[in-house]
Amino acid sequence: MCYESLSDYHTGKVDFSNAVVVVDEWAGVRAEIIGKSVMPEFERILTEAQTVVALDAFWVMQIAIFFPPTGRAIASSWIRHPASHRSL
Amino acid sequence: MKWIETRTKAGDISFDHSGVALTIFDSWFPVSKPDDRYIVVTDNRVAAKSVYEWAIRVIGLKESEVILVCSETPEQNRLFMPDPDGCIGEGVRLVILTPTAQSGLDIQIPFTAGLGLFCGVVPGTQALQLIGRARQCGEWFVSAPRRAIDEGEGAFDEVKLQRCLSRLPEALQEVGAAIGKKSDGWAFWQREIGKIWQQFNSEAIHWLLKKYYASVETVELMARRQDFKRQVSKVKTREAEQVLSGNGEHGASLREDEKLPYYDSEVWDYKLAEETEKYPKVYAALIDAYESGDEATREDAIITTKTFLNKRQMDSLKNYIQAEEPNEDDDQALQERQAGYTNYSSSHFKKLQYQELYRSLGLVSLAKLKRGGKLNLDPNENAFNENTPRIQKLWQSFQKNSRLRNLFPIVETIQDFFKVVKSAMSYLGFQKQGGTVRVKVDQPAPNGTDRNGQQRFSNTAPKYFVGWFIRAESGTKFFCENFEMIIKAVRDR
Repeated sequence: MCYESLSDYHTGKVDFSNAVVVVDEWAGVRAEIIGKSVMPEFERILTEAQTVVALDAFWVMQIAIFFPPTGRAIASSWIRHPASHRSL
Repeated sequence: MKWIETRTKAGDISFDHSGVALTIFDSWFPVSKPDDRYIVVTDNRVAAKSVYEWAIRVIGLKESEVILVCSETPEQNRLFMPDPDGCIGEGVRLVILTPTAQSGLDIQIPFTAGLGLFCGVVPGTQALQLIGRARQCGEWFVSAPRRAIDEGEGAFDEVKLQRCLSRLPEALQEVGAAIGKKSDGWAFWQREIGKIWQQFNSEAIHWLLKKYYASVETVELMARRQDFKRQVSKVKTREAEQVLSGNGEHGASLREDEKLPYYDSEVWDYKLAEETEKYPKVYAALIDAYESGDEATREDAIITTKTFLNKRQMDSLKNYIQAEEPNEDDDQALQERQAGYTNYSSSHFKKLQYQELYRSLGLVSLAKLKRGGKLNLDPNENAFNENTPRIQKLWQSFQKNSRLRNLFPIVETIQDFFKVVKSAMSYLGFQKQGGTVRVKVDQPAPNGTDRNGQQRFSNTAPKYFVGWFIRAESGTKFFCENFEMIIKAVRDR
């Protein structure tokens, strides 16, 4: 994922309060983005977005304990058997 | 699903699986039928290229019969990613994937067998994602060797997590970073959990495989270590040559325009520009030597480039120089970065943590080992664990230093402290050597049985110690032999 696309230059003027933000491969994003310089923008997106959907083939611990949902759902997929995945 | 184990010459389980790919290839290709197809997935780009070279050079596959997908093949990737089945088609007998092939990639075409080579770069779940690229694969072999585990891994549970989280604001305030960000706790949790994932990567992959695949049996293979290491060396030599032959100006303009390489050749232009930005004088001299020097000079330039391309080695050397030779400009720059955006996982926060620990406690004095001759770990001189007086003194100094205590909310016991000391030494590139030494103990320790079957006791017991080589002797052979030249080049880069 190209995290630079989240930089303030690109997202600074975007209003996320009516947005549904979908994050695919949530485990990877959660692990990698925390050390990047675009964290302030990502934090804003997670805080302001109307809904955040975090997807991952595996059940991974969400960060809901740090970003408690207030009127928003943080949804994630349950574990799917990776070998049974067919083309979507 | 077959879980690979290898053995050392002495017959113990080995942590080194280099060369299992070659052994597997020996069992696959000689007896393969024309329409047999194989897949290799790995988290290691150099391993992918080594396997590719071996398939062409030794197994005798044609270039058209092998597909390699990595960060250095953008032209191939543009064709392959949208339509992998089309690309693989009839003639391809071997597909090699790296994490460049992301989890959306869907390869329906069936494979006879597959091999996964995981050296701990990606977390276990991502390893399974890589295996899952091939939707239909007959038999999988997985190599994910374990890492040696130091004794005394402390527990990291919810209680400890809460305690550390409550001390986190002090840690961030020490460096002048903003506190109270929602992501602060997340960053702490992620960094600490990340260490555990890395340490137990192999066990995690094994567990995940057993959870999601019908059967996982262990197979023991011979590892063709020397052959593979020679192949890896050839790949790295060629990489060095490709970097030195790149077009630095073009690479610099790509970087300036924030463009990624579009053509395969641009990969090397880009890498050269990246390297030149880090070490301008060094690369100017290397390119000069490569282009206009004689055979011997060119060889030297290539070997030196290989060393500078070893990111881990060079980064840790830079960290060492900055810690060991305090420089006002560097220190101020580091301090300013903290005020920008900092959390517990930020690279600049980590750098400041380890620098402070190293300088305040004089950790350089722990590095006493030298090469040449028999290595003697002596707990009174050059080898340490939590019970060594030297470490206990350092622990007391740490506890008296409020800034250090604040910088390291994870440290609560001497075991935590010693772990952090080991991490700091590793961060700064000191090479560690562990070993068991018999030492006097207070309580008589069991020591086998005598000939009548009675339990025997002795005044000594084997204990595990670690020591560190001095900085100038921590690294590859070339690095150690040319340490003065390399460190000088980095100092005035």
